[in-house]
Amino acid sequence: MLKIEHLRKSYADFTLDCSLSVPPGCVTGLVGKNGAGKSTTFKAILGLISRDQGSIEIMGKKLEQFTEKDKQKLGVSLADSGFSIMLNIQDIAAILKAMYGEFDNDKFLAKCQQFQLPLHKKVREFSTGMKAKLRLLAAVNHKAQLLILDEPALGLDVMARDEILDILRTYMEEDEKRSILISSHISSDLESICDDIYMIDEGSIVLHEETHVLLSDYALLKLNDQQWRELDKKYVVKYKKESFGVSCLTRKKQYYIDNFPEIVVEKGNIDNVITMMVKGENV
Amino acid sequence: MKGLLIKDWRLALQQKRFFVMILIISFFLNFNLNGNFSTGYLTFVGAMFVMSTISYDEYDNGYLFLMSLPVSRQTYVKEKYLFGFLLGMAAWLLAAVFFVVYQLAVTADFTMGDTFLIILIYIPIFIIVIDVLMPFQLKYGGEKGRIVMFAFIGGMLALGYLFVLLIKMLGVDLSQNLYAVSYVDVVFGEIAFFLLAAVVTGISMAVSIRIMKKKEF
Repeated sequence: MLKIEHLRKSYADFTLDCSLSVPPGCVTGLVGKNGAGKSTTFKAILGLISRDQGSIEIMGKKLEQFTEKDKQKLGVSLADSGFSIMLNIQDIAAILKAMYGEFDNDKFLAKCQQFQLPLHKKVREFSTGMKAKLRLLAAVNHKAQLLILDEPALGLDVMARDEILDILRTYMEEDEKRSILISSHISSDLESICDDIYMIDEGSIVLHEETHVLLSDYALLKLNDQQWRELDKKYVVKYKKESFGVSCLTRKKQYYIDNFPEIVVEKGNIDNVITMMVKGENV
Repeated sequence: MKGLLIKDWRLALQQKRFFVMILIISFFLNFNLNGNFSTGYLTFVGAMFVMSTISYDEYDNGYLFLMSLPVSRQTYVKEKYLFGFLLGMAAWLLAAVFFVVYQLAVTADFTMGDTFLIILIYIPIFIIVIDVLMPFQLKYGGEKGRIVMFAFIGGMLALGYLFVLLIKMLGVDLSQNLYAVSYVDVVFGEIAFFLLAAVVTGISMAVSIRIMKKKEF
């Protein structure tokens, strides 16, 4: 569905060099701290910035050959950008109807009402959560094949984030070939919806793993200095000095549970994997 | 293109009170000042609103989202010119109606043909003004673009003033020369202005598309 190969974009103090792919029917997450390169990657995919090197292919078509008609198959929600806040939902519906051949106006308005978004109020009067829901609803009601979502749940409370995830689950259930590329700094959101996850740091992809593998096989080992010295380190990905000794990230949790039963093993999650990938050292 | 036109039209409607006020002012200007001035005033205020829509677009990172919609940068530029021309023409038509109403009410020897010729000239002029300002607005954005716009208008006024000053210094009686201009000369002059507007539009649009294609969002 989406394939990025050696995308390179250099700024004075930052260089993005990234490759990733989103297969059909998959939800792929992109995680990383602020300034890691997530938004730059999204901008490059959408052709909003030029690139120095590399290729981007969307639905089998090179980005440079992507036409306005092709763009109708994309749904986009960006964290800090949307329709003018001077417009209301009725205005936005009229615009989307004219822009997307497949836009379902009735469904869009019904969904807006379902999520208690006022149809006649200007967007500038909306709360952060209402704006986020509107951005997402505007992206999912024209039968897009690929959603590009940059921090769709930014600044939202737990309830609002759940609603956002529900919209995405419904979108995926409607057509099994649909795909999503989503970035979020809230890892639990990604854990619950993504099939695979890319981690980006300082412009480079530092890890790519299927979510279920990441959650089932990755773990954080906590050891004192003696345990660390005696540890078989062949499945240790990164390690970090701690006040109690050493913590390290492994991709073979079961191996250490079976062979080093005295070690404290903490279940892997995206947060501790990111922390170790970014702050940890190679063995 | 259609979606962008709807967007800009709906944004223009946000300023409907302002437009109504301008219409009222313009209507009464006909009676207090030269009706000719009022036609130009309304036409330019209408046409210039397209520059405000660019400010709306760029506000709050709006371009990022706008350019992710099924719209190419080329289409975006073309729509801005089209919207500017449509607004300008709508304003001109209204102004023309006001002018004719005023002429019918006040002037005894009113002829439709002459009136039409007088106010027709505002069409190529407003088109050329849009053509000159649009690339600046797209390149420098709302705030800086506005400075350029005022500088341009100021420059034009200064040029006009210098021209009148020069004419006076040379001792030429312009009103005598104007009376000597025939009806046919005026018609040819207007045609020339329209052709000039078409050429300038082509050049301006090409420059604007180039500016937009180079933009990074």
